Amino acid sequence: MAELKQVSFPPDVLARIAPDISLHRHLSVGLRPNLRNFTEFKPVDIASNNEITDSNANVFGSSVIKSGSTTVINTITLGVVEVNRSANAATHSNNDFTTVYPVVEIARGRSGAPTDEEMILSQTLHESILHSRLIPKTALSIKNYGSAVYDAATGKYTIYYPDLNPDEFELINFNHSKSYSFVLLSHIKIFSKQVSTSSLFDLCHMSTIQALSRLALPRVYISDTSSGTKVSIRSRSSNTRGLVGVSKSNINLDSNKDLYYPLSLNGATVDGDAMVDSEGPFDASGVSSNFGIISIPEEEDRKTVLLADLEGEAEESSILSRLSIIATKDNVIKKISLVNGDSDSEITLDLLKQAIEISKIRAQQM
Amino acid sequence: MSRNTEISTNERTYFIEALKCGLRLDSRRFDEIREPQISLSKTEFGYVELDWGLTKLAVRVSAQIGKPYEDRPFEGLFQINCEISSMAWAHFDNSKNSNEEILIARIIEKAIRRSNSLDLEALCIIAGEKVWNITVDLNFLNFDGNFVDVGCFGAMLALHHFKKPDISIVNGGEDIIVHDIDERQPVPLSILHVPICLTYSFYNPGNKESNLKGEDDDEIYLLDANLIEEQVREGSIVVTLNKNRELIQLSKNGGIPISANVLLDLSFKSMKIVDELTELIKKVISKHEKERYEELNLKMLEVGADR
Amino acid sequence: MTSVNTSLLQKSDGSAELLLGSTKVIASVTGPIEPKARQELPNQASLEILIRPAVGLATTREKLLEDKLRSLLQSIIVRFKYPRQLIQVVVQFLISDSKRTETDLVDYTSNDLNAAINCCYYALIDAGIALKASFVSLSIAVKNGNLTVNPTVYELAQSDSHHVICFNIEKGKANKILLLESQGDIKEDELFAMISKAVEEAEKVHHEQQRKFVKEKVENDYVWKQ
Repeated sequence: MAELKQVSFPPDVLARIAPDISLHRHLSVGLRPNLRNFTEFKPVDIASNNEITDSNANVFGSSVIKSGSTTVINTITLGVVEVNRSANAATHSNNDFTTVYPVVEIARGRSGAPTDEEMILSQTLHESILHSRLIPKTALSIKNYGSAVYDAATGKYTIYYPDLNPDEFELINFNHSKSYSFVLLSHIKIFSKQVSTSSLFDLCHMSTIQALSRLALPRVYISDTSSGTKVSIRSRSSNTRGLVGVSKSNINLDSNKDLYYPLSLNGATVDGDAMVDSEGPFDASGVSSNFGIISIPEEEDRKTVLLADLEGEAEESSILSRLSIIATKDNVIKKISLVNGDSDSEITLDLLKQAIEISKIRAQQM
Repeated sequence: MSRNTEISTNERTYFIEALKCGLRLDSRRFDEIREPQISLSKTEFGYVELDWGLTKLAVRVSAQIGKPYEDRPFEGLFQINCEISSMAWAHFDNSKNSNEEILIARIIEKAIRRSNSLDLEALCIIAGEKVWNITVDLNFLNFDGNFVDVGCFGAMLALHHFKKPDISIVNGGEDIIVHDIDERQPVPLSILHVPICLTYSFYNPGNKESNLKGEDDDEIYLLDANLIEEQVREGSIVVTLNKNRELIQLSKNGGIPISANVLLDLSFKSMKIVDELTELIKKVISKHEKERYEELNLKMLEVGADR
Repeated sequence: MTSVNTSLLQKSDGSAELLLGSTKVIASVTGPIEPKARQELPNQASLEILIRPAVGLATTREKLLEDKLRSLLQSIIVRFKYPRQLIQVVVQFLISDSKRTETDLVDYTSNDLNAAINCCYYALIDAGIALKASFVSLSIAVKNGNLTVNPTVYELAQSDSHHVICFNIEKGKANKILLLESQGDIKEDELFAMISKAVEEAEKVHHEQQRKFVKEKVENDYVWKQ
């Protein structure tokens, strides 16, 4: 008969082959595998006065955030779209809010289509900024776009704006009446991911809010390649010919940094007309915190614990009940995402209260 | 249960023997289609639910305003989305498009889009800048054979049912206003012809080796095959015709060879059914229009006198 | 307001069509079936969830809804009963109430998520998949402290905050929150008031709709036993 020997594994090996057992052992002695307290968050460093620019001057806002070795770099670029004015103003009210279009990339030594995790992070970020009513639609609308006038004598273009150079502007034959608006595109790159996906959302949210607070929007002007020429093009199916305007008006971003203006975020509630100047970037948007709930056996019973800021293989794979809260320092909850994935661990209302308290305190500290 | 259930030998043999006796398992004639059950949405334009035997399909037509292609400034954009999910049958994969799915999508696209059944120039708003972008989404809910015919019929029906919002051009051609459907009556699409696809499946119940054309050929042709019939068939042909006796497209991808005069014969025979189905579309749509007219009391909005 | 039909699709093991307010959704459940090699889990069932929108092709919006639905179904289906098997859930939206107009950029996913969860319940029962408990989901809009259950998209746009809350129902009582998705501004006390009101509503829906429907369904399906 073979003898059964007890096999013991070093802690890091045990963490990989039996993450739940490793986690339970840590928790029952009051520790976490990453040696933080149960409700302690990992410290986050936000780089200040750090601007990322690229050679084409396309980046208008950026932020760099570090948590442990995980680094999140966020760059915001702009797009310009034409806005159609609808006859029915009631549904498209000016009290509407808009959001950022993020693309999250987690550096993992792979290239190819975004993974599910990246897509979900991007979409969650997109929706939470939309519903937190942070960026009013009017803040991105382009008012007073200018015109570039070609001076044959000097061979140069000069740009005139209706509000800055009203006299010169009147003399220009300006027949553009379309409305335009900016679109915010955010590219988030995550290096050295150590933390769980829920913590990644917290970091991405923080980095986006930070980048938005530093965003400077440029002025926009229109340059016509040649005005008024129309070319006759034959239609495909019949013999009729029609005139199609060939000259395309090009929309350009004025790279004159003196004319940049900041994005006016919404600091107040839905009304929109009370835009309060916030002191910190997170006052209006709130700070995102994530928690996990797990029950560990204690004597004959089970004890349910709340863990803040999940990190590490053991926590990520064994903790199925998750909670993500965005709270502001004024005691307003902007977003809650709760899922109870474990039939053993129950997220009671008390635990929820506790988590909300902790989130609020964290928001006050940021 | 395995994902790819194959048909059993018993079932296959039973089916072929029945065919040899001139019987189809659901008592239809060989050249008879299943009767479509149509349900048009009363609340929105462009949503249709179609039951064709046990095959179920939901079609939706939607319109957006966009920029036309550079080389086609007068034409609107039109596309048909035909992805089949595993809801219709576990055999269809969610992640990959099998050859079957691609063929179905291509035939429907050829029949409807490439044949210019929808007048793209009527979709133009401001040449070179703004055009309507029409999208047809075909959502197959249950598969009991013959997605091509059902898909094509459903798409044409939905295109007839759909109405796009009315538009006014302001500011000397610079800007447009899209009117709400409550404000102004929406406008139907301009459909130039109605292509109807018909799929014939062939079976050679005799000896496979002696598949010679001539007096001896005894292939059996079935119109509108259901799932079992499709799984047992040895070849198929999709003929797309319209009411004007025009052949829109023809698709025979491999399978057992058929003789050429049979091909012509089938095309002639199909005309009757094509006429019936085209009439059905027109009838259902005009009935729906009339009901809507009565319900909304649109007579009161008419300006001209009734002659 | 709400109407349910089951067993509509012959090729799926279970299917349900739900009309909730202006949202119409059809869900099909097929399983347990053979998984692909990469999907197989050694001691549990694996879930393949696909959500398709009412208009256009699936985007990251549907990916996020799939993730939320997956986290719910993962906990409520008795997965240990079907080891090394796959349960495929496909949710197809037929009519969606998520945007005010077709060209509106503001999208509210709560009515869609809510309808998908409730429809999956009936589809799973129709398919005979083992569930740990019944579950009911509600879509709620809060404005000035007033709750609206199953709001229209216009009510959502006017609300201060909107929520999707799903409860676990055991012995007729809603005892656990399985899923809570809240967006918009809400204060803590308002949140807990909303949750306790939702408990009442959920139990009402369970008794008046779910139990009644399932009871009738079982009677009809097993009529041959009489």
